[in-house]
Amino acid sequence: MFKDITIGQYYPVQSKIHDLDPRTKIVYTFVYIIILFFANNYVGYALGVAFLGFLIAMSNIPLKFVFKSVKAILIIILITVILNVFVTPGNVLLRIGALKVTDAGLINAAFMAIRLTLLIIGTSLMTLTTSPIALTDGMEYCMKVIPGVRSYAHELSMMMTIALRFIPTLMEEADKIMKAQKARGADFETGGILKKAKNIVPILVPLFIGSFKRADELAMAMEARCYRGGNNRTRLYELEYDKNDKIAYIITAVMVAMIIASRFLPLMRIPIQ
Amino acid sequence: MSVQLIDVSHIYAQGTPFEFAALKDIHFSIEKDEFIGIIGHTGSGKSTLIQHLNGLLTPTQGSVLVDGVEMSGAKGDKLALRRKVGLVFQYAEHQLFEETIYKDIAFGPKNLGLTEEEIENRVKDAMEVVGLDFDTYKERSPFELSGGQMRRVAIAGVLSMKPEILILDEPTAGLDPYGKEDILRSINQLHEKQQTTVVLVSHNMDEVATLADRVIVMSKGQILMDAPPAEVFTQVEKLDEIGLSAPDILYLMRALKKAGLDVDDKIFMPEEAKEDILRALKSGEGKPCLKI
Amino acid sequence: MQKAIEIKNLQYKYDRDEEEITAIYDLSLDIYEGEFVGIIGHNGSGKSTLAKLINGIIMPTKGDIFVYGMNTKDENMIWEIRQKAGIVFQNPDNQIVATIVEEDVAFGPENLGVEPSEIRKRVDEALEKVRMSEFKDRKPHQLSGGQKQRIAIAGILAMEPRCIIFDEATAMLDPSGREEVLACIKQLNKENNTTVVYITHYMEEIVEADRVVVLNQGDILMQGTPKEVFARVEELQSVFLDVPNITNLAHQLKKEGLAIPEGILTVDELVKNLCPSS
Repeated sequence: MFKDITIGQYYPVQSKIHDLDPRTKIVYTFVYIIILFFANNYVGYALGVAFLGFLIAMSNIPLKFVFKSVKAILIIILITVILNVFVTPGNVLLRIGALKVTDAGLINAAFMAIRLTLLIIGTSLMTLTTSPIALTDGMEYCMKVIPGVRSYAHELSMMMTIALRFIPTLMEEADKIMKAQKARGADFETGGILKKAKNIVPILVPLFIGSFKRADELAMAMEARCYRGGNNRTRLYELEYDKNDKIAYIITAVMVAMIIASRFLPLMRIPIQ
Repeated sequence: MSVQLIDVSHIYAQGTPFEFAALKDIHFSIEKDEFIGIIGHTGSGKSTLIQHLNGLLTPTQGSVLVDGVEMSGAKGDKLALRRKVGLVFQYAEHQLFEETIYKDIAFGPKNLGLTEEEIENRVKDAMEVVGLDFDTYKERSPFELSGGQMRRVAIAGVLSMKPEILILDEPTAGLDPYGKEDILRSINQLHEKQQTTVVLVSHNMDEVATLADRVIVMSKGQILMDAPPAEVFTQVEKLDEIGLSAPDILYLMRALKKAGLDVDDKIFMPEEAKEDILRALKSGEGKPCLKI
Repeated sequence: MQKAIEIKNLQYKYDRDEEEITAIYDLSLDIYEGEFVGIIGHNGSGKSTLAKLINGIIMPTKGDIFVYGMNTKDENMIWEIRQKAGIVFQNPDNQIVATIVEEDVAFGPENLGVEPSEIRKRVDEALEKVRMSEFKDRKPHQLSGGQKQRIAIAGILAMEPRCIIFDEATAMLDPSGREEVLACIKQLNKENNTTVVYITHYMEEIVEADRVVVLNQGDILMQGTPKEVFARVEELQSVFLDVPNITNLAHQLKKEGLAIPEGILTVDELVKNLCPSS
């Protein structure tokens, strides 16, 4: 029954964004996160929203799915907003007991909320449009350029690949073990939190033992297939940039330039920390 | 006790693009003292079916009655049902988790809230049935045993619940011939000596042919045949159609009859086949076969 | 004929709980290029240990194993040995590494540093040979046991080995899965001339082998053609091996005084012997 659940939040449809090289998307996301902190007035934020909106439109992913990721951090956004509203000094608009609401506070809170929302949507757009496998590949390539992590790049990505490969298998196994223990009268539904935690032992122990056995056998099978780490290893698919990736990089550069330029517009500066 | 399935259907992932009907209008009952063999391909619905028998799955439609009492739905007492119907899963050794064999087998009885003394008796009995010596094995870790022995500990872990109906899903899968025979012998003993009702799910025709007194053939979520082994296995063409094959002794007897030897082509047990071939050869005159 | 595998006075011991266990006593065996050798024995007979020894995953305590003339103890040769003599294991789930079928088949050649265009060619050919081409973009966990095992075989084939060892490769499959995998292996042996070492405890699977080797307690109990080996019904049963039903029945009939030969393996053969003039 777990067989067809997609792992991560990849949304498999056809689009120009889906077809981009994973490295392009990783670099764009990284740049986007950083550049958001450069925006300091509403033109900057409007540009951030516009670029992201353009990408979402290109990606053929329903807006509902895009906003799903925001739901998860709604509370964090709310807390940030409340803190900003009451803590930022400025012209007092309203007093509620000891608390003051200032004009700068309101503006600050609004911008913080927008920034957080954009951050989350921006990163989740990457995971929505890139399959976990492609993402792993892309990260391996990207890590290879960074000194220090370069030598672990292959190992890290191999670990991720294997994890992705075994998630469905282990989920199925967990389901089976749980049913087997239920058949022996185990009760996972009633009782307090302590009892529930204790009751999970008969599922976790066999699951761990099973995983170790799998790991052991898989290691042997990999060795038998001449696996000896990343050195001198070739790939069936080498990542290659095509025309669309070049266009994407140009768009990224334009975005960076425009947002940085927006800082110097003679507009009201908002005191963002 | 009896278990009755009335027009049971089960649909996985209903309302999603992955919707899949694993069971369609299943209608059958298990009576006391039966030994039922269920055969069918992977994906024919066997596993889904047996999980309905002890309340691990609830039917999407239809109902499950135990001794005439409705068990499906929210009001059914599933714990009580699981006490009466024991289910041994495929590769059951994967569910072992305790430090000692004793503790693992005692897990079920403990969940039933029995006294220490009663638990010990049950563990002893269960170990005896599966052929593991109590004093030698009780303090040992189940994880240092061989595959076949681990399987037996896992089966004992269900037997210690003293179920009135015991369901086993492929209890011999992946074992060597010696380990297989051991387990089948235990199951048969349990049926004959302790009058436990047994439901044996298997791919192995010979296993089912020797042990069961009623065979259910499943295909694509439906019951295709439900009859005594002799009736099921002689319908070779019907079995072939769904990619199952009858015991090979039956193919031999049919081939011999075709070759002109006057044998009973409904025989599928080796012992009977031997006697019948000898009888036919002895009485054969002018036949194209050996004379004795 | 060229020797694919040469095993000389092999002994293998290991420690378990401070107790020394001898898995293989003193075993010598030659396997020739293009042969289909069935190795049979009950659990603990040393048959799986033998597979790991041939592949250089574990090292002999005494004696030597040569794979196409290369000693498995020679560390410089180990990767070439593993490329020449591939191994398919029992559990289909625990030998598939990648999340997409074709990427898993590519895993071996990638490790060998083969050029991408050549990998592409090998992957397509290997999938074709096991008749799984249409599944190349699938995820492994969506496949049946038999299909997964054929992917595992394709993964080995893509390394272009000359010999493949199957270590109980069908033990966890259902009858139809077992049939499809076995048919695939037989075809490789015949059409590709791949040397096959087929380790199993199902006798029915090796009635068509060129040679059957029976292992018991780390030693060769007997070897010969399937006919020669299966003729010795009582000896086989004494080491807990299961003789096929038909062979056993023929043996019982012969004991009753019928003039039929030992080692009958199939229904047709028994019918021909019982009714010769039909």
